[in-house]
Amino acid sequence: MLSVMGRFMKEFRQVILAPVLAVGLAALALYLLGMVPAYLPGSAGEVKEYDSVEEAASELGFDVIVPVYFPNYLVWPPHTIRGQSKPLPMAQMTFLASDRRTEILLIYEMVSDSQDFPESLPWIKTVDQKITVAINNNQGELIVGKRANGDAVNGVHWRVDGRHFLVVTTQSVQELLALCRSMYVNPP
Amino acid sequence: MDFLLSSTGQYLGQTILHSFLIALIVEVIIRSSRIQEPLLQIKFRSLSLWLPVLYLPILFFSYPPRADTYFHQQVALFDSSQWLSVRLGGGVVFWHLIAVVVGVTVGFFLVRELIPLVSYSFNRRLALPVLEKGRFPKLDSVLADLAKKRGLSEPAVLLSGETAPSVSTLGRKALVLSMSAIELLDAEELEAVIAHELAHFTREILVIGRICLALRFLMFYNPVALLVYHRINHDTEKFCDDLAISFTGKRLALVSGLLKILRHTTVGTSISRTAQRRWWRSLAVYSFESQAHLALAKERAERILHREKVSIDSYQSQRLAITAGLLMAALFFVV
Repeated sequence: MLSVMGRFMKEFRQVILAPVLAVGLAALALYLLGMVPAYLPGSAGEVKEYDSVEEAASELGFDVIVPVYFPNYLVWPPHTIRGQSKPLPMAQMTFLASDRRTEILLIYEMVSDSQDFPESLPWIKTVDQKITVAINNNQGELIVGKRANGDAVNGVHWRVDGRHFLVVTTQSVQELLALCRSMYVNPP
Repeated sequence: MDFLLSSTGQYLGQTILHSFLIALIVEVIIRSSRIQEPLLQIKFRSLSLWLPVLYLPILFFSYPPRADTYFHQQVALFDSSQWLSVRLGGGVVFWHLIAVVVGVTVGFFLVRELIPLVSYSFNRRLALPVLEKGRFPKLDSVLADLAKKRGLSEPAVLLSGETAPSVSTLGRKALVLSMSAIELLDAEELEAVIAHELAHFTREILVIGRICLALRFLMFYNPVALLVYHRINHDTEKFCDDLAISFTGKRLALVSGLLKILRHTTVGTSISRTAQRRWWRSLAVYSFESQAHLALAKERAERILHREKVSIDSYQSQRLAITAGLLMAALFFVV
C-alpha cells in the first residue's frame, strides 16, 4: 500500500505538479513583466501635457473635439490637456469652474475599436445608475455615480466613428447632455 | 510599428513570443521532471513548433475580440505591444531590435537552409553511383548482419564522392558512404555507425522529422523555431544512438566510429592544400557550425560512454496532453 502511494505521489509530481508549477510561475513572471514598461522613463506610451488643443491635435494626429455649447460657468482654455499616441491614441481635457479653482468638467476621447470603454472610467469611483441615452443619432450611456471624495458626478459615454467619448461633470444631467450633444466628430 | 499592431503583425509577433515561452517552459519541465528519453524530449520540444502554428489561427478566428485593444489593456496577462514601444536610447526602440533579429533569421534561413535544400533536391541522385556487392566484403557482411538483426531488407548503398569519411542516409531507403569511411572504420565500428544511420529510417523519426521540418519552414522568420528545430535534430541523433546500441550492443564501437569520423572531418588531414591557402575556407573550419557539430559529437560520445539504463517515462501521452492544455490556457492571455 505504501509503495503504491509512493509511486502515485512520484507520478503526480511529474505528470501534474511539474507542468502546473512551470506554467504558473511563467504566468506570474509575465504578469510582473507586463507592468514594467509603465514605469520606464521615455516610454512611447508616456502621457504628455499640452499647452493648447491645437498642439495636442497636431501631435496626436486626430481632431480633439470640444463642445460647441460652452456655458459661462466654464473657463476657457482647458485647465489641463493630456494625451498619448501609443498604444491607444487618447486625449483628456479638464475645465475649471468660473472660480478658477474647481475642476468641474472632464472630456475624454480615445481612438479604439473595442465595443466597451477600454479603460477604467476617469473621475467616477462608484457607479449608482446607468441609463441609455441618445447622443446625436448614437447610442450612449448615462452614468450617475460618485467621485472618490464622495461628490456626485454625472457622465455620458458613447462611441462614434471608431472613437470613445466620455464626458463627466459635477453639473446636472441636463447640462451634461447639452454639452455632449454639441460635440460633433463630423460637424453638420 | 503600425505593421506590428496590425492583425498580421500581431500574429507573426505572437508566434515568436509563444514559441519562446513554450520553449522556456518545456525546458524547465524536462529538467525538473528529469525526462531522459530522447523521443519524449523531442515530443515536448516540438510543442514550441506546432502550438503557435495551429493554435494561434484558431484563436484569431474563433475569438476575434482577443485582438481588440480592450483585451490587450484590460484582460491580457502580458501585452507585447507595451514592450515593443519601449525606448532603449539613441532613438532605438525595442521593436527595432526584434526586427534585426528576425531579419538575421530570415537571411540565415535563405542562405543556409532553403537554397542548399533546393540545390540538393535537384542534384542528389545525379553523381552517386550504386556500390556493387562484393567490392567491400567487410561492408557486405555488416549489412547482412544488420538486416538479420533488424528483420528488414538491406538498404541500397550509394558511394559518395567526398574525400572525407562520411556515412549518411538519402531519402528513406538509401545509405550513402564514402570510400574513406569504409576504409577507416573497422567492421564493428562500421556496423554501429550504419545502425545509427538506419535508425533514422524509423517510422516515428521520419514522421516527426518531416512535420518539424514543415513547421520550421512555415516559421522561417522565427528565431526560436530555428533553435528548437536544431535542438530536436540533436535529440534525434541521441535517439538513433540508443536504437543503434539496442540493435548491435556495440556501445564502444559506436563512440569509436563517431570520433574517428569527427577527427578526420574537422581540423586535420582532410583539408587540402588548396583549401589551406584560401584562408576563408580555413575560417569555415572554425566556424560556429563546426564548433556546434563538435560539441554535439562530444556530448553524444559522453552520453553513450556513461550511459545508464534510461528509465522509461510513464504516462507520456498524459504528460504531453496536460502540458499542451496548460500552455494553451495560459497563452490565450498572452498577446
